Amino acid sequence: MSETHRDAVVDVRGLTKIYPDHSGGEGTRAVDDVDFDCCPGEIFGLLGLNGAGKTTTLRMLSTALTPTAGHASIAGFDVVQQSREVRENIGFLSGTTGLYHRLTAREMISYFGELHGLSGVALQRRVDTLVETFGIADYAGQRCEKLSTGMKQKVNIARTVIHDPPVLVLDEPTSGLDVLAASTTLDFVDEVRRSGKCVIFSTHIMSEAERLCDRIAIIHGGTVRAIGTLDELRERTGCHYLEDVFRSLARPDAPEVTAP
Amino acid sequence: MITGPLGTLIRKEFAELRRDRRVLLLTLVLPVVLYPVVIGAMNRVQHDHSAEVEAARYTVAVAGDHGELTGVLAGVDGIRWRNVAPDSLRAMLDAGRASLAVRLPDADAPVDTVRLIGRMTSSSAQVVADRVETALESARWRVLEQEYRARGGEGGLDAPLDLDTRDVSTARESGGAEAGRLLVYLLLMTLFMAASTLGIDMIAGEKERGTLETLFLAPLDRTLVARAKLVVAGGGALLTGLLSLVSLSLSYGTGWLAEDGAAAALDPAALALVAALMLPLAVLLAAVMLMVSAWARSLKEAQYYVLPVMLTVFVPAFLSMSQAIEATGVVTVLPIANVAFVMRDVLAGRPDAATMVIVVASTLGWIALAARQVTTLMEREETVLGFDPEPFFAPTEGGRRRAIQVALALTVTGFFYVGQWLQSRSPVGGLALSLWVLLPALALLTERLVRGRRPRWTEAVALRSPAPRHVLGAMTLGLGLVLPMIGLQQLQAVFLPAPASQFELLGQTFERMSLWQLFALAAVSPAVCEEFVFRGVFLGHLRRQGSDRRAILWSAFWFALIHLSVFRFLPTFLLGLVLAAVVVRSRSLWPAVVLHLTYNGSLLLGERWLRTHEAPFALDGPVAAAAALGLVLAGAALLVRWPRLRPAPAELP
Repeated sequence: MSETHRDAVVDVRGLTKIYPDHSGGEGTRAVDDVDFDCCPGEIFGLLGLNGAGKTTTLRMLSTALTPTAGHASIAGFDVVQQSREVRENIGFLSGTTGLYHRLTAREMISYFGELHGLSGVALQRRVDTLVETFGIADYAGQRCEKLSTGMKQKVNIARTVIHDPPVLVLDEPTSGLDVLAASTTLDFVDEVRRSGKCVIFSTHIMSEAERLCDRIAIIHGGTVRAIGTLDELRERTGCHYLEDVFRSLARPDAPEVTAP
Repeated sequence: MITGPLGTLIRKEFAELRRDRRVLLLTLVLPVVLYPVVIGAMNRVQHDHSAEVEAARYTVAVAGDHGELTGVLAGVDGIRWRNVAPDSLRAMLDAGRASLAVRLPDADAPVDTVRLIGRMTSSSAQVVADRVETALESARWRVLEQEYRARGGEGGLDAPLDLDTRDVSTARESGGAEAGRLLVYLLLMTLFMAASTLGIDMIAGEKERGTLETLFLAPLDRTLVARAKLVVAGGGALLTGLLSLVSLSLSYGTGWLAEDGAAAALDPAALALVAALMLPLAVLLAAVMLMVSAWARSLKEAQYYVLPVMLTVFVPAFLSMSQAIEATGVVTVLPIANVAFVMRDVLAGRPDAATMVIVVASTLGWIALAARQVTTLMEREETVLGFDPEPFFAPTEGGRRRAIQVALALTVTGFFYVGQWLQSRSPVGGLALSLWVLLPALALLTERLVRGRRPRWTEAVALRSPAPRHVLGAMTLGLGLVLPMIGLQQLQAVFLPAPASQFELLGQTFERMSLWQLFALAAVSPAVCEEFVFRGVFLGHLRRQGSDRRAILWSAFWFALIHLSVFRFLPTFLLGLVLAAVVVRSRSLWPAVVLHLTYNGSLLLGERWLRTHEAPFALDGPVAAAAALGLVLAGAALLVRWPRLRPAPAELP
């Protein structure tokens, strides 16, 4: 188990999720004893194949799933005991978090602002700022069902950050997007880091991880195989390209490699 | 065996279908279980009601004395005749003191017309009129023959006895009855359609579109989300129902819906009451549909479940078109059906305040249960994320809890229907068989349903040696509870009077038995069998699945329910609470057996003894109250606390 950074805003220790087997068996260990942390101004990448346990881990951080064992905290709040406070301090985006089709883009962003306790002029200002930032002013009055995939993703990101959370959890945010939309999303993530927020970013696209992540955890079969900066991982595996690093660490017989 | 590509295709289709719970539900569970149970239950209620109507005694006001006809009418079963002056007939009807009025021709008058006067929109007037008409019809030719003979065979048989039935229902009563036949059906179906459309989209639809997960990322209490959805789905259904009521009332009012085009006068007050009754019904239907919606994995799957739910609405809605089933007894607590029958009665001008209170209260109870279930489902991660829900009887804690509740429901239903059938064959033998064979057999079924590890059999049903003080306490408490329970029943009778027929058959059976037979059947048998099943098997299972408090409550609830009588529910529920608490406290089944035996035995023996002896003090007086209180406190003290007899150890220096 690695040590926690003193100023870590996300702290995950021994996090485990076992999906129950309804026929009485032991169940599926989707996430097994995962440790990591993330500090403000850092992008922490979770890199893994489909079914590696990335989404389950992030859903536990978002409080959508309850861990079977272990502990995780966001901004000092426990994800099980203080789930409400966790949700106040986190912005979560994944491919499965949908938009209300019959609401307009502006209504959608406003609605979640209200649910997070914003109101009146403050809410209006915040919505206007986000509409401006994401360049959706021309479409803000349109129903979400009429928007393109890229526009929907922008609205979804605006919904995610409406309450200006200190932690952003983005689960494969560029999945299904075209090159331009994906690039805009990645630019936004980079900007969020510069504003001092903590970003947990999961992807299976190596180039995205190489471009953005300060530290990377390679997750495979529910366990973290390695954690470190890209250079540290290169050094430990002796591979230059992240794809090769990943391949060498995702082997069944690969030893766990954790940065000091 | 079909081979080749066709066989491969067929086998694949079968493999898929039998793994699809929707298909299993619609093709197996529905036709094999649900349809027969729902329709059988409604038939049973209808049959019971018909038997009750047939057995009931009605008061009929009669004016005139015809000798022969008066004699004929006196022989009609189930009618109490009140002789009144001709001009008082209507007053008797208006005051509700007679179900029907009969005007007979006088004895010296030539046979002319027998007039039946009544509010023919009421089922009791119809039943009595049928009986009177049948009796008069058979007497008709006999009377004519006598007339003919009295005339010495002169003339002919040309002076028939006419029956003239006059309906004195007001225009509103007639209109209400006419409208009530279809209006309630249409309103129920409208409410259901609206509630299902809204309820299904609100959770299953959101689940499918991924917005439920998005919504739950906000710092919200899920109870609040469930409540908001219930308000909107219930409110939307109510609005649809109200609009339908308005449009249908106008259509009836203009005669547009009547076959003959005649306008039906509907009482605005009755319509307002129906509108008010729609509120709890709309919320209940919305809660049920939200429950279905939360349980289903997707919108499409939820739509499959609409059909069985619709059946539970359709059957009572359909039955409400007839006057056959009255809103009394167990019908008043049947969800959906109870409101349907009360709406029908309100429209027919027969509103009964006490019934309405019970119906609304029970509907609120059903709403609370359904709403709670919606919240529980919303708390589950599989609901939010659309994962496969846990199978109903999964070998998990939740699955075992559900299995116990289903087993308890099956026990109550099975005990009622099979037990009733056995007792209809032989009251004494049937009751003995029900208690000694049927009830334990149903308890064994529970053992089969509730899988998983359990303690040794004797431990599981708390067959441990009791402490002597607990036995003594149970005996004292059992004795002390007799008078307070009688008092409670008398108090309850003020608000909820039980009809005499309720305990008639059992009373007659008990009357014919010797004291020892009675003691064995009504005291020993329930004390042993009911305690073994409810406080042994069921309480044991419930305690292993949750808190003691919850287990005590549930075991008492089902114990009260198995007596399947609205009038006995509260006393048996309270007794069940005490008995379960005694088992939890004493950690043994035996004190509960002793308490039950003492309680039932004291009731029976006391009642028999008081027939031949004078009570030493007034049973409703202060001495009796003080004695009862003393016994209850002494019993409770023995069970809960025991004075320390041994001196406390000396303090160490």
